[in-house]
Amino acid sequence: MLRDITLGQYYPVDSVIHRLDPRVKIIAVFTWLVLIFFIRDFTGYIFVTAVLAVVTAVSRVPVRFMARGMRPILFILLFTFVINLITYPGTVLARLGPVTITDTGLQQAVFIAIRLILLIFGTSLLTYTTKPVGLTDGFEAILSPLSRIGVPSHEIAMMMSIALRFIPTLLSEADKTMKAQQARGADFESGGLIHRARSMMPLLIPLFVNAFRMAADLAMAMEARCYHGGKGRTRLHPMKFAARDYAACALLILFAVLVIVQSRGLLPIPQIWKL
Amino acid sequence: MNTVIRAEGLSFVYGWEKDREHPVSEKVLDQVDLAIEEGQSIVILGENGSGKSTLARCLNALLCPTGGRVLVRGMDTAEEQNLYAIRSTVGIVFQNPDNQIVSSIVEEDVAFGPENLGIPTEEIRLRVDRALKDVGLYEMRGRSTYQLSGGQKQRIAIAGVLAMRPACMIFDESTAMLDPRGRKDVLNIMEQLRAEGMTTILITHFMEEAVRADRVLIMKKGKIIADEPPEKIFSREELVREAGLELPPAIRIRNLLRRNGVPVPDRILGMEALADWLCARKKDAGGGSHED
Repeated sequence: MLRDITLGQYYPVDSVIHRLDPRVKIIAVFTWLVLIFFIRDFTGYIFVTAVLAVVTAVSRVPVRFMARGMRPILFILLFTFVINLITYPGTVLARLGPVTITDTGLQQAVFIAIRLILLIFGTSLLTYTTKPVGLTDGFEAILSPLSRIGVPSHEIAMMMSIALRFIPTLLSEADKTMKAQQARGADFESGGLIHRARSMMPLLIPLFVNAFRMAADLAMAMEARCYHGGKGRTRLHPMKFAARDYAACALLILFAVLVIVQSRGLLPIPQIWKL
Repeated sequence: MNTVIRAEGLSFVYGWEKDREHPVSEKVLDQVDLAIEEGQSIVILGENGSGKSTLARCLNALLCPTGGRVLVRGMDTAEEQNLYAIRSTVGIVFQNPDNQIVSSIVEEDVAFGPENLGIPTEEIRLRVDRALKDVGLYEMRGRSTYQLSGGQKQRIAIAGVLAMRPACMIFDESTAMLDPRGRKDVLNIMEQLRAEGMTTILITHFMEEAVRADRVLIMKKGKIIADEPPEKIFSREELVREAGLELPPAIRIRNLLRRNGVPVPDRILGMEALADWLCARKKDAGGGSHED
């Protein structure tokens, strides 16, 4: 059952987006996250959605595949939508007992839902098109200026990549332990929530013990291969800015300027349904 | 011949650095003297707790001796500035294939050692490709490490050490957790490395893996109690038993035959060689007779 959890959502196809420098993609995603909150009208959303659609099409990650990744947050989406829908004062559109739906409420609910969907689609595009190794290398490079003020950027990146590397190992370990316990009559499936949580204890303790042993073994193996932190370390795949990365940066700046200018109403196009 | 590793009066006690008067354990290594020459293939045998893994960790500066010293190509393992030169000269492959892989991508993992040594990118590429070809996994270089079998993981670990271009490789029970197929693959690679002139140290408790070695060391309670070529070791049954080990089946049959007056020579160590020798002898004896 534990094998069903899909991890490292990398979608292995070859595209310009896949080949972009991870640093560019990480910065682009952070910019995207900020820009989404600038937008205050429907025109803006249409514009950024169109851009996202183009980028997704270029990345060759199937939309259906990405939509499947949305399923886990469907509940949160619905929840925030309903809460926003019924909690705003304004012109009443509909009434059901004590619950009222107002025009501002409806607008807020729709906007928040769109925002959430755009945020998740945008960030998942990063993980779909970048290998975990690229992600950690990218984070290390972006954080490295901070190492001068004492942020252990190399260590953070190394921890992230080791964590990613050990997720499948720990999952199969958990699976093994679970089967071993079930073979001796342990019951993980019946009973109420508390009972089931409690029955997890005999699973968690060996798992923790194992994880510590693995960590000790791995530390030994890393030392044996001359690991001594990030100092003086070279890379098999050093990150290099190619022409496409400069082009992507230019496009990103253009996009950011357009979104900000549009959200201020400085463009000669109407702002539909402005908040 | 050049001596790669020399241990002089090497002793080791766990927990020594905290309290010299009351160490945590008894002496795990007790006054070990050992010289390993370039190109030799050595097998270290011993039951659990005999100190063989601790010895291995002392030989590449993962552990610092608490008594005596270890010299790797003349460099003292106790000196901090020799650390990386020693560890890249004497590589080690551990027992658990899962717990020694650092990266989630095959070639990234093989590159880990050279990356730590600060080797230029183009050179790392060459070394990684060479090492992966040596272990026969070049085609897998872009794969995810967790999809590999135990034997394949262990071969990746070997490649990871090879990429540091060591002069000596220690296999610390590297075959113990593998299925027969994986074990055979790893042993074949070891054999091939040996043929290319690599000094190999194999730590095991499978005695049959000792058959092809130049020297067999038997350890007991932190001491080396025997250091001889395999054919000599296998004739000393009491010694082997005393060390808590069991002779391979072919050797046991050989020794039984000898005790019953069949003069099987020392060089016969494997089941096939034994069968061949017996058949040849039977032919010499004149075919038709049924003496055995």
